[in-house]
Amino acid sequence: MDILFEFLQTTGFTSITVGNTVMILIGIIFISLAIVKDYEPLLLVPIGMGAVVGNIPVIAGMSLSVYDTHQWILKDGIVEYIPGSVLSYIYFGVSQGLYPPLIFLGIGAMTDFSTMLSNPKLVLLGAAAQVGVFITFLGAIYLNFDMSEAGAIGIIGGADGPTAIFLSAKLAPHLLGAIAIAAYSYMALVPVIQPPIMKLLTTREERLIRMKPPRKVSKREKMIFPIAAFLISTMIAPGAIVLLGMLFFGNLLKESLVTERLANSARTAMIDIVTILLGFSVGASTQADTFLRPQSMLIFGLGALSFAIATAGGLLFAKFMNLFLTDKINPLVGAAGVSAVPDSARVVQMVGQQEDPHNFLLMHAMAPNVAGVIGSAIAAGVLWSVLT
Amino acid sequence: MGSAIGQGVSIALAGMAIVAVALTLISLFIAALPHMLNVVARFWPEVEEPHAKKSHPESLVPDNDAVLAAIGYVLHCEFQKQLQHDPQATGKN
Repeated sequence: MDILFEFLQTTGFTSITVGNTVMILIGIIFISLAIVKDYEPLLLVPIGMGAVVGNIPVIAGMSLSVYDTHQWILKDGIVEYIPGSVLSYIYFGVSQGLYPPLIFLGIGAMTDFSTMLSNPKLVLLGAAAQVGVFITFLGAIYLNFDMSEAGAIGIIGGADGPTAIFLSAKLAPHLLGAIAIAAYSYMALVPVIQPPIMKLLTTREERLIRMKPPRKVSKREKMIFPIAAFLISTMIAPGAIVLLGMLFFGNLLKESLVTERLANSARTAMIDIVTILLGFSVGASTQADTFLRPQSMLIFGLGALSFAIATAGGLLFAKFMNLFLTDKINPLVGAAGVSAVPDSARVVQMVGQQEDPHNFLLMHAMAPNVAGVIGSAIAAGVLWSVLT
Repeated sequence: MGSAIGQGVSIALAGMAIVAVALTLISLFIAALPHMLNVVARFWPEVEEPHAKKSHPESLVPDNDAVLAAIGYVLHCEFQKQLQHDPQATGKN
């Protein structure tokens, strides 16, 4: 009977907290949003399930949580190895920043830079949208986060989950869970956040602008671009070597035409496996005692602000460029500069077609969209090198 | 607090400038690339799909031309055999 009582003491029912229950509910909401609303299901299902798994109270003395890492202890003059939990080894790829570059490899292998190569001025919109990163960085400093934390929070405005995880793993590992959840939540909510800002900052006439179809890009251009763009961007911001190196390497695998098998693996099986591991372990890291803090609420608030500023930055810069251009840009495509590939480009297409069902902006929006990926990786590299 | 914000503003301005410079240079390079390639093409013309026609062992791209050539060759051989067995098919007696 004592054994039974002892066992009951170890069950989750006796030690679950209100915080754990809230986090399990949040996990279930994520899964529901993915299934019912189709919001970023490839991310929200693993993260949601991870949050449920990570918030089951663990038995004292057993290595079960992502934070139960391996240890070397000195016992009776002998160094002893205490293995960590299984989840901690999966989480190792997040905490050490291994998964984000691998995801970038896959993204590179599936990205077609043709639209960007055919209209290079749209690259500037990807730069303009990064204003969200740096204004949020200032906002976080104003709210008493230290410099490193502020840098990690600011990168949420880059609207790029892997970049946000990579930078927060380097600058503020204790905030990684909150930053990752905020980044992916807002990426999933791009169709909700962006349209009101896009409509507010543009006139109907601007939304009706039709852009010239992109020119055909030669294979040589596509092959040369990843190498040249890598050299240009990382010579200026060496902190971006890891992310951009993998992104452009993946793209070179695709465009070289001689490594189709490697490109195919990178953009399918490999990115899927890494996404599963990353999403699940990030979800499992959102344990109530580390996640449900006032800081997390501030991070969520700043994250929403950064998305809004980044969207506005891209839109307003497109309008500014139109002052000098003869072939006008539809300012809506500026909103795609926030990265969040390809969701923000899809939102541009959707909002554009609400005004003119025959206006196809998707191809044009992909240019600032992929430029935004490069821009946010450069911004992350700059923040990492300056704040380390 | 004031000094932190001051330092933050400096970092933010420098960061925005670096991102803008990097993407502007990439944009300028992309704009110049077709012109550079036009010059290169005078000495080294671009062959349409030079790699796709090669049968790389690691490539998953189907080599349709090679398959068609093989089918054509087999049909030709079969037709030749048929002609040898059935001389009337040629119209000769």
